[in-house]
Amino acid sequence: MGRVPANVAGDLVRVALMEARPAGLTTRQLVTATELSQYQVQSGLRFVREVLAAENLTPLTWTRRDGYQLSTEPADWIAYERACVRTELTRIARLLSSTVIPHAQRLPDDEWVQLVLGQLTGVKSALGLLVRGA
Amino acid sequence: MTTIEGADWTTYERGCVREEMLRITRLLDTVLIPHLKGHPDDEWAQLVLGQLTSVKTALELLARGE
Repeated sequence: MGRVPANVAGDLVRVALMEARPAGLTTRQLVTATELSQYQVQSGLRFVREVLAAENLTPLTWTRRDGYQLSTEPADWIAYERACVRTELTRIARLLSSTVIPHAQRLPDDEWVQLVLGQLTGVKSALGLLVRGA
Repeated sequence: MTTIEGADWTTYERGCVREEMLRITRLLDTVLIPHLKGHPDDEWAQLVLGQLTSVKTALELLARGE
């Protein structure tokens, strides 16, 4: 296919994902199902995530095992949300340990970095609470 | 020398914080809010929404440099 607008790619991707239900589809399988290029599939996925998911109240989820999915099961959404929160926790913890903590130790009088340290430590606790499934 | 180093560090950290803020915002807008619109009584989603909203606010303040 030649040039395809994002909303058209998005609709093709959405239909393919709905037909695959309750299974998911990998990017490669979406390329086969929609006859779009890999790039167009990515743009379609973005459209599904940002526009259609909100309209249809069905979040687009992704797992390594099942690929992309438009599940109607809230349990799948919760699993995806928990995985996303866990990824964020890892990213914040890494930012703290690799950059912010060394910076704060080197420049103890730098008010800005002390503020960042305090705030990110709080963010890390909040995310940790969610990951542990409170 | 120390000042320049500190300024570079701050710029880098502010960029990282901003990226995390955008990631949290996207998670809220594209997953949590559709989830809660469909299932407003889901306690887990309400808890995540509340926590991530305050995380987003904290990161926004830092990214703006306040």
